[in-house]
Amino acid sequence: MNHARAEFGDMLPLTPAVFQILLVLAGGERHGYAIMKEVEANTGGQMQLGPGTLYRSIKRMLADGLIEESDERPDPALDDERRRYYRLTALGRRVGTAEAERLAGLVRLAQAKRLLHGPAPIPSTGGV
Amino acid sequence: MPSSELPRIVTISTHIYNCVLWICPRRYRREYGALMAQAFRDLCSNAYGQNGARGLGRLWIRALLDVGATAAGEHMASLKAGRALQMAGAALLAVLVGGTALLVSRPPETNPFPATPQVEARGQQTPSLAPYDASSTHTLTTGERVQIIGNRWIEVEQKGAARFEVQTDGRFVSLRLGG
Repeated sequence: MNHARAEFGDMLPLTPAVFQILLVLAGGERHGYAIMKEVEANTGGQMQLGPGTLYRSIKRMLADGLIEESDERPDPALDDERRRYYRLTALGRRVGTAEAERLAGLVRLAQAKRLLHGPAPIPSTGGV
Repeated sequence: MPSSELPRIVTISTHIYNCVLWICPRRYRREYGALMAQAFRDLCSNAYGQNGARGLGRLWIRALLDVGATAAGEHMASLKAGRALQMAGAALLAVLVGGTALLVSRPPETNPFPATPQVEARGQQTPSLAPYDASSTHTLTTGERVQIIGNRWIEVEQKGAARFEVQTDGRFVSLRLGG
């Protein structure tokens, strides 16, 4: 964790919104609305990103080099309107991994302090 | 769903949302306003399709809070960026003013010669002396005078003929008794 802190400086800890967006984009490139819907689904509806929060986070992540714009194209599942897609950069993937390790360390600490029982549950990815 | 087939209430909501976005800083609005409106329209369509007007009302409450927080955050960021820009400008101005003042107030003894000094012989002409190159050697005779153009005369006081090295670093000239 110290190594991650040294490597990524003051990027860590990530805000919940930024980390959730990284998690979504780890599964492939998405446009804004798709990111919002997937974050909502991943958190069981606990986190509902508004368009403002989403694009403020995206703006910061683009500036930090965590994500990049891919291209504009329609989403056949929605309509024929062109949408801007985003994808993870190599740096974004490393920062996401470092944040996940940081959170895992906190979970281990919580288990050691008996605040959390048993091993950390593995969240369902929805796939088979 | 193509935008032409959207329920009228969704279309109106999106128009109003576009107006609300005017509270955001102009630069941010230009970059992300259309994308935010597009996402809001999709959210509207989804909320209205699932929960009707009630769903739309809940979405609007969240959207207003979201846009308010976004506008406040972006205005703060703009202010910070503007202040940083102002401070950088002030620092640059201070450097320029300070540097100019230093150059103007510098006594002539420290930099008496023009940036590209030239030397030529006067009196008993010494053709090889004018103009001289950096670090060259010339033979001068007693009483011969050398003029640093635009500045002052230097008189060679050495008895008899002597060799002087004329040296410059581009700004300063020195005549040194050679071997």
